[in-house]
Amino acid sequence: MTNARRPLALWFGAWLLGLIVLSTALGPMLWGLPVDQMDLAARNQGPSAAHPLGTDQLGRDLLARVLAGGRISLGVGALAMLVSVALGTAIGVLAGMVRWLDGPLMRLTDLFLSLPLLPLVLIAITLFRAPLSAAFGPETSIFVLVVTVIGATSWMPTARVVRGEVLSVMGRSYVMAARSTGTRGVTIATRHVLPNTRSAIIVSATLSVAAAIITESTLSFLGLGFPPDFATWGRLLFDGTAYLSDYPGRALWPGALISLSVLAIVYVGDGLRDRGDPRNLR
Amino acid sequence: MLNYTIRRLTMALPTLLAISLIVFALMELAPGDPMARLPLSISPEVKAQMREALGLDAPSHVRFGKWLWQLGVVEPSVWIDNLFGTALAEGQTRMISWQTRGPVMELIGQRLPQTLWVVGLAYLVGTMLALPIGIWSAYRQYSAFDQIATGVSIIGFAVPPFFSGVLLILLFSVHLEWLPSVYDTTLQVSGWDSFTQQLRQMALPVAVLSLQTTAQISRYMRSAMLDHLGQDYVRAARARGVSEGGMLLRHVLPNALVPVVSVIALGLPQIFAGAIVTEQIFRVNGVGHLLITSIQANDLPTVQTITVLLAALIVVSNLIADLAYGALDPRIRYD
Amino acid sequence: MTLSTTLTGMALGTLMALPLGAAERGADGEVRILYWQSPTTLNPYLSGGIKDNDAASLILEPLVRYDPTGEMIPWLVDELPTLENGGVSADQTRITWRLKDGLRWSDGTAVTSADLRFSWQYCTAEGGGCAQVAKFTDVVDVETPDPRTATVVFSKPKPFPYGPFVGAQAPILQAAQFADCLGTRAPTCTEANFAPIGTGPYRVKEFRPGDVVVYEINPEYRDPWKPSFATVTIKGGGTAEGAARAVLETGEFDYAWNLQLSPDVLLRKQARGKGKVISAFGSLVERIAVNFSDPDPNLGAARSTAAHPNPVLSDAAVRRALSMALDRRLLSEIGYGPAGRPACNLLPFAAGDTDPACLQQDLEGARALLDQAGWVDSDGDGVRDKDGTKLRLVFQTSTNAVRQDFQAVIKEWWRQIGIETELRNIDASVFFGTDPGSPDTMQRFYADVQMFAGAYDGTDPENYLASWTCGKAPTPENQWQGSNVSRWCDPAYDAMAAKMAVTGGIDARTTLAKAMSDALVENGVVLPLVDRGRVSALVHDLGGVAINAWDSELWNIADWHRIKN
Repeated sequence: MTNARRPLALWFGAWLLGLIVLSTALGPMLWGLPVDQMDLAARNQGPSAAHPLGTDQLGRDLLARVLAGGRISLGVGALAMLVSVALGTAIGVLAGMVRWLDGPLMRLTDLFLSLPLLPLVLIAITLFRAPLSAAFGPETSIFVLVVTVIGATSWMPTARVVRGEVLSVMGRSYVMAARSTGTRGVTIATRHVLPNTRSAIIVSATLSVAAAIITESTLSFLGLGFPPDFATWGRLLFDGTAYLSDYPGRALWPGALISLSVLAIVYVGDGLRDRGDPRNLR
Repeated sequence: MLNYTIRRLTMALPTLLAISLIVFALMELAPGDPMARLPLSISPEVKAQMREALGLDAPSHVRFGKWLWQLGVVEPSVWIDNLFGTALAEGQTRMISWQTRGPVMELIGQRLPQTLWVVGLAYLVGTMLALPIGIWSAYRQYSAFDQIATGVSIIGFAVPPFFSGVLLILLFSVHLEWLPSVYDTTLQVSGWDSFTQQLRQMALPVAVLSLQTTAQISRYMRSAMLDHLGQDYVRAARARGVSEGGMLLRHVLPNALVPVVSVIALGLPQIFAGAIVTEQIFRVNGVGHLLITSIQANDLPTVQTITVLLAALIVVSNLIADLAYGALDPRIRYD
Repeated sequence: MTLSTTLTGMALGTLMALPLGAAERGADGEVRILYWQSPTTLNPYLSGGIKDNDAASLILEPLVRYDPTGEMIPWLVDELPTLENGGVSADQTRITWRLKDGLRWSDGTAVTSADLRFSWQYCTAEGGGCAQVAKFTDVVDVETPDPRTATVVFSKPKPFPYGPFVGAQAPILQAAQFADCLGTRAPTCTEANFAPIGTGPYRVKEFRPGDVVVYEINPEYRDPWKPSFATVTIKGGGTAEGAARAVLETGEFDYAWNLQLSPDVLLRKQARGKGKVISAFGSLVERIAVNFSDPDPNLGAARSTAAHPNPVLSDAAVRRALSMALDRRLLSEIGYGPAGRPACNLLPFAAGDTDPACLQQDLEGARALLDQAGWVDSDGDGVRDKDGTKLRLVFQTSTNAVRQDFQAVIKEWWRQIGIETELRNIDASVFFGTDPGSPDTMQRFYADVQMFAGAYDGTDPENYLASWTCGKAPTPENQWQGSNVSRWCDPAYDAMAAKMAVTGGIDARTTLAKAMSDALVENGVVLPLVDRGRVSALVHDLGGVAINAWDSELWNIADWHRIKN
């Protein structure tokens, strides 16, 4: 079996992801129209020179909204991934290294795995939206909420995988040696254990980013995500589906960007896993 | 193994109790009001009386206790009564849904058939497609087939069902007029005609759902196969001159299936949970639809009951997954 | 004769000609109706939701219905009791109803005045949580001198005695079926609530709450030729968009209810030629309510109470300017399309008399008005101020795509006249909830302005207009229960409301109602935006439909039929 294509997927993914991230990040500089600027005379228009992707029902420029939506959606994805991976890794490493914590932590993981997550996410959002929005304002609060809720309900697979890896690393002779010489637990964790669990963490991380982006769009569909006036890819896609037969671009652009981002992220994850997998370095 | 099963089941009880407490507390703290969706022409005073009639003014611990009693004692005895004609539940108030003023369990019972048909069939179809795709993708890693399968499965993963569902409706119901876009839950399958009608109305939702299942499971199958294809025993078998097909099916597959079977078992509760979005789009009105409309209407008894029943199913399928692990992999011992 | 006679022309229901030679009963097979919010019970007294009232109206009937023009028409009685024909006593405390001859329930038993008496008892029983108890306000007894005659006795004179047993919300229940369901036992009667015995053209064949209702013909129905459809299916679930598609694009269903979609989406779907969009207007008006009290969080417990007047909105000029800056035509078009008409008044029958200037957006005039009132932009930041107070408003509403569009547009208009607006949207289940502990309810009104839609039942606006009197203001003392969310208090208005409660005679009532509504609008207590109608869709071969915003939308389903080519 040739390995020639493997870097290709990685490069393709990295390239695509870079392109999407860059264009959404630099969007406002490249495309000067403000997201919320309305042109009530030019509502529901098709693509034109002034509005390359057309306008929405209030005459807002769709390109500007897609770019702005990308920042939110990718931001939600990245931050939710960080929360989930940080939680998962911390719990996995603790459970793997500290014997008396192993039982309770794994019991907790099982409990979380037994919770029906989507209903709970929905309940949690209806529950915390009001108090948080009083504290942070409507947009920040829903951002914090979506990130926390997605992160806090998706760390369990990472924790399990990391714990498994940690247990196997702890059994290796050099770690045993380090322990016997009295090296502190934290040092062992950062110097020996974490580097060896890197590939497992990366794979979990890429999957969480993708899952978070999708969850955000599903929440929008169920009317529980970001408020209707707030552009995110999920929101734009959901709003656009009503116009699918009349103005297909309204749904297809955000839809395509969601799919392409997820595709790119998964390719990057696959590629990185293959690289990090010691069996593939032979 | 029997001991192990019993031990796991007894451990499950406190877990379930904890889950129901969490769910109850969450719903209790939620700021919603079941009367919020009534027209504004109904005055706040009348709404307050309606809340009282639902027992909403009782303290939370009383309502939690009542709900546990109804879920744990009254509903099972109603069930036994129905089976054996006894009268255990005589005089007991059943768990009443606030939205419909009818028993929650009957609502769930009405919704289960369509959920099981549609989501169950989609899971079956998805798994049946996923296994061969995963196996072949792994065997011909990085081939055109693998690349396409990866691409398609990622798209299945990356396209939200509310988008793919509407797309399919536009294509097959609006433009081609081949398939219905609304699921008829009252259809009784009694002969060939109604059977084909049932198949037609299931086609679109099953397609949307099975795309997702296929995408996920084929990825697991592929990576499990890859793990084993690189191992020494495969090389040894090849060196012994075992045919490729025989090697795949007899040596690699049984080993690679072990983790995949547990993944499949862990996905089972989702069948009962329904697929909230897909059910909504095609009006399958199964358990998932009941759950989301109850959340929207702040119908606490229904939401709590569905969530806790779901948790119970997840616990059971976790157990099944572990037992399947043991059955497939004789190295694992339960003690 | 009734208030509604003066309302002619306000309902735009597409009344189609009824068939001349009515078809045979049940000859037209099945009619399939789509309600994207599913009916969850068939007892309107326990629900109050429009979807449930409509689904129940095929089975349960009131004595009098409203037709699409808002006119009362005798339904289970031969004649409408009035002062003139002696049906209403001279002191206006008694109204006597005489049932049609030979009326039968769908189980074959006779409908008697005892059933009327029972329906009153059912709804007013302690602990029953009846949603329509307001319909029976001040009723002290229902006397039953003979099986066909019932007299409703009020504790005080009722110039408009048509509350009990009038309209889809207050139909008649069968005493025999619901006898054991009084008070706290009401929710336990699942069987009766899910399959009530009625006098309507249909009875329940199968009901799955939240999913589907299948009806079959009531064999005892009084008209031997009707209904034309042998079965009716009301399917629930999905979205409004999907419902419109199933009628207008695929033709799978015959009728789809409440299609709140953007006008161009509806028009394009209609252009596919399978069906058409119809609309009717009732009393539902989308409006902005102005807070006369100060919602400043620093006030603590005294926040949004009458003790602290609003620093900005107490100025009538500001309220007037807010209204002048609105382009109501554009709002109606963006948000509601065929289901909306620009509104300058709260009462639909007063719509003809409004000042046409209100329909015209006048940004220049609004700016001039604010300048005159002393609100000028002294520090050049684009926001006007006066005596150190900035013209800043918090604008809240429920989370809903159309309302957020409105907020965005209105914020922009107000920005153009120098007013800064902060937008908030609150989940509908909280905003419209009655939880006294929640800070985000409509009643608490912790904002300067808020947007929602309000309406009244039936055609008499007495109770509706009375909701702006001083005593109805929500306060911490009454646990924030009250309908005067603006906390507006004007003795002159209260006097008019008191006069309304004792005024008989339709013309006098109408004049008074208009004066009250004008007072609300001229004082800037509410800024009416859009008169919201009902929009539904039906396929071309469905005949007899007369969409009705005053009663159940399915009020005349007995006349529905299949048009044959």
